[in-house]
Parts: sequence; structure tokens; C-alpha cells
Amino acid sequence: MEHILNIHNLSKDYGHIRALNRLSLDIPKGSVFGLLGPNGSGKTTTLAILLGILKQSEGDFSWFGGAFDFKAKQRVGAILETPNFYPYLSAYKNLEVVAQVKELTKPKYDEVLELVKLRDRAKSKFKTYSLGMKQRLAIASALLCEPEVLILDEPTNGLDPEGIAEIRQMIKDIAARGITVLIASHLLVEVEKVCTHVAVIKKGNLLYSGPVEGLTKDSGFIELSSDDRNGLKKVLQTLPEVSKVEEIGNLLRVSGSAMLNATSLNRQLAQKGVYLNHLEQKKTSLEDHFLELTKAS
Amino acid sequence: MKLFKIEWLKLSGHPFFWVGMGLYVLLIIVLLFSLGEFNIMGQQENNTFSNLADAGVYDMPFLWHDITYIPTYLKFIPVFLLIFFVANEYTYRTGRQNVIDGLSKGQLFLSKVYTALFISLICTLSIVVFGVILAFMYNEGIGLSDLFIGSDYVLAYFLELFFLMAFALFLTVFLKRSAVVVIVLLLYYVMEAIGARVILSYFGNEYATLLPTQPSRELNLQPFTRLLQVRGISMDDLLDLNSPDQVSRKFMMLTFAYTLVFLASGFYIFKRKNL
Repeated sequence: MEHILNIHNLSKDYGHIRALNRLSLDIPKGSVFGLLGPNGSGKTTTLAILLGILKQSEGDFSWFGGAFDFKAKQRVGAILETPNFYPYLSAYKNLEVVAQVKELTKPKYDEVLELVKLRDRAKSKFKTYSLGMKQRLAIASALLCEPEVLILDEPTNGLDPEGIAEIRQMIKDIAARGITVLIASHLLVEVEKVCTHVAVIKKGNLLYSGPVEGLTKDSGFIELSSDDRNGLKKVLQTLPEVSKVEEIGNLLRVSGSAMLNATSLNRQLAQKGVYLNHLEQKKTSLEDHFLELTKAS
Repeated sequence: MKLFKIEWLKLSGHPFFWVGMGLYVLLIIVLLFSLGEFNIMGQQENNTFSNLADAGVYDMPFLWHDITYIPTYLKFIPVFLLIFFVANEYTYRTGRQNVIDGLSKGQLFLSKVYTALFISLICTLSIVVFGVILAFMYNEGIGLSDLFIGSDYVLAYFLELFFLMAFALFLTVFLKRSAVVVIVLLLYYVMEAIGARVILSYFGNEYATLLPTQPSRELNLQPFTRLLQVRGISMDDLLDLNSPDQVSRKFMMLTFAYTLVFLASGFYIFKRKNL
């Protein structure tokens, strides 16, 4: 698979605090990649390094197989943290600044403003915009150079549900055009709803990286009980696919490898002479799994 | 040119730029044209001139010295404008966005140097324009080449202003907040003047003038003693200062050297600090 961005052992220290610890990631071309982690986990630090405004302490990264020079910057549209614009300039003038910086020959102002539904407010000053409009202008500005990669940092932060839905739909539409999208977010639902790939980081450490489905794959558990509770527990502990047995009230909760499923468990227990009065396969939601992941380390 | 175009978009879109520059030009007009009306000699017994215009304040070769001296009191207006626009890039995080979008940090810094240069040039040019008008109003039968007489004061004015811009730019990339920069700049300007006096009295003037802003302050010394001496009036009792016929070449060089020092150290800090 072709990668638009390779990150190798990237670390960042602020004094003796390590904000990012040997992060290695490859962002596949055409993916919608979610960088997921709680606040202060190192997401923005990572993006700031990748975008060339923060110097890493160790490690390296390459954009399109090379440095993040002017040519590479022309292929990337990015917004870091809050939308950063000149409040006293109109949306149109603000986009003009971006076009000049990126040396765009034929910037499609109207087209991107239309896309984010700001065309009728294009002449208003940025400071008169609502938060949702500001976020949308940020996306318009990032799209102005017709980028191959779009980077968004917490794009739905502080928005109302309607605004959130709009932005998410917009991201899906953009991804459908073949643009690789990299989103930093602390919201799991966000990543679940729009991303194809995800990297979970906490306190600067990478906990998981891969397809979004992979995050949920081995996260199911089975709840069961039997009249012969001790016998059940004993047999469960001998099974190779079982890694953990917990007592939840009068139920036993079993989790383990991907091989674990209700049918085989039932068969094996019956073979050992243990009969169940309760058997239920449950899937952890991505949310639970995320919390579990970030709690465990 | 690209960098200047970007800067122009940022400057021209803000009312402060127009208000600030407008105010500066307006004050220049008022001060320069009313300069001749003043009568600094008051009721002295040897007062043979009714006002400064009569005394020859607009006459060649004094004209440039006289009309660049007065605006040195206005130089903080354009300097504050520069501080405001550079500090904005931090406040709004737009400088950071410029770098994400495609500028290098060096280019971003250079664009600020262009702004400093641009504002300094407008200020200097407005003095030149009104100077030429005054020259033709008060000097009969002068040719174009006569306009250059004593024009080293125009260059001195530009050097002083641009030096102060470089110093302000250095402070702004270091401190980032416009209010803080303005306070520190003014405080330093006053403190250094006091410090220079102290050094002067203990070690002599050649050491005092080595302080960063001193050479720029030595460029344009008051012109009145010089003017009135020629008219046969001793002003020593009134203005106890010397008044050279031309700008000191040494201080011009020193001012320019300090300008380069502040630009270079500003760039060094800018490169190392996070946006």
C-alpha cells in the first residue's frame, strides 16, 4: 500500500516531560486516518511536528517520501487547533492570503466557499462568524489548494449537534473525492463514524494502530453462569482461548482471543460436564474499548 | 514580491494602518508648515526676526535639517504600527498558519522586515514631498540640484526610523505581546537616555554613544543653534547644545550596524522560538 506519510520513532520532550514517545505510523493514501486520544495525549504535538512548526526531539518523518518543503506544503491543506485567520479581514481576503502563500495560480474561492456554504457571507469579516462558520472556513481554506492530504485538528470542537453532523458529512464527501484525511480527535464516535484507520495514543504512547474494525475485533466478551459455579470456573481457566475470567455479580465474564465464541465455549463446557443456565455473547462498544485501552497503560 | 503582496493584504485590510499612517502624515503637514510660524526667541532684546520662517528655517541649506528634526518626535507612531501588526501574528496564530500553509520561518521574518522598510519609506517619503514643496515656496530661483543640499538629513531620518523599527521587531518576536513590547520599548528608551548621561559624566561621550539607541539619537541634533548662529544670533544661552552642519558619518554607520545586529538577533530568536 502506498503511504503519503511515514513517521518513524518520533519523540518530543518538553523539558523532562515526554509529550511524545517513539511514535511510528504510516498513513495510507486515500484513508481517513483518525489520531485518537484523550486531551493532552500528544495529538496536537504530533501534528505540529508534522506540519513543521515544532521541532521533534528525536525521530523523523517524510511526506510523500521527502521533506516537508514548499512543494510538499502545496499538496497539504491543514488547520491546527482553532481556525487561525485575520479577524479584521473578510473570508475572501483571508483566502487570498492563503492563495498568495501557497502561490496558487487559479484559486477557486467561490467553489470552496460554496462547498462549506459560506458564499453568501464571503465578504463579512471573520470576527463576525459563528464558531461553526469559522470551522467551515478553516476547511475551505485547507481545500483551496486542492490538496492531496487534508489535516484537521478537532474539527467539531465546540459545535452544536447540527454543526457536528455537517462537518462530519463534509469530511466524508471530501474523502469520497480521494483526498487522504488525517483527523485528530478525542471523540471516539467521531473516529468511528468517519475514519477507516485509527491510531490510539495516550500520554505520547501509541496503543493501537490499524483499521477501525481492528479496534473492535477482539474486544468481545461472553457472560455465562452455571449451577456448578466452581466447576465452570475451573474448566474455563484451562481453555487456551480464554485469557481473563471476572466475576460480575452472579455471572462470570470471559474475555480472550479472537477464537473465543459462544458456540465453541458451550460445546467444550458440555464435553467437560458443565451445563450452563446463562450464556450471552457481548461486544464491547468502541467507546468502552477506547476507555479500556487508555486506562490500561 | 510575493512576501510584500501578502504583507500588503494584511496591512491594507486593517483600519489601524490607514489611521496610523494618516495621522502621521497629517501631523507632519501641520508641524512642518507651522514650524515657520514659531518664534522661539520670544521677547529677547536681540530679536530681529518675527518668526522662524523669517529667520530662514525653510532656507537652503538648512531646510532638510529643520524639517527632519521635528518629525523625530513622531517616530513612535509608525513604530507602534509595526509592533501591532507583528504581534497580531502571534495573537491570532496567523503566523503559525502562514508557516503551515507554505512560508518558511525565514520568509515570514523577512516579510516583517519588508513591512518595517515599507513603513519607514512612506514616512521618509512624505517628509521629502513636503520638503520639496517648502523648498520651492521659500527659496527663490533654486534648481533641482539644489534640493540635494543637506539632504544627508533625510537619509539620517530614514536610518533612525528603520533602526527603531528593527529594535521594535526584535522586541516583538522576543516578547510577542504588543502591550508588553510598547511598555518595554518606551521604558528602555528612557532608561537608556538616563544611563547614557551617567556614562557620559563618568567615562565621556564616546562610551555613552555606544549604547544601542544612542547612535540613532545622535543623528539628528537640534538645528536651531546652527540656524541662528548664521544669522548672527548666539543661542548658547537658550539652547545649550551643539548643532552640527552635517550628520555624523560615524553615527550613521553605527546606527546601521545596530540595525543589522537587531535584525540578525531577531531572526535568530524567531527561528528558535515556537510560533
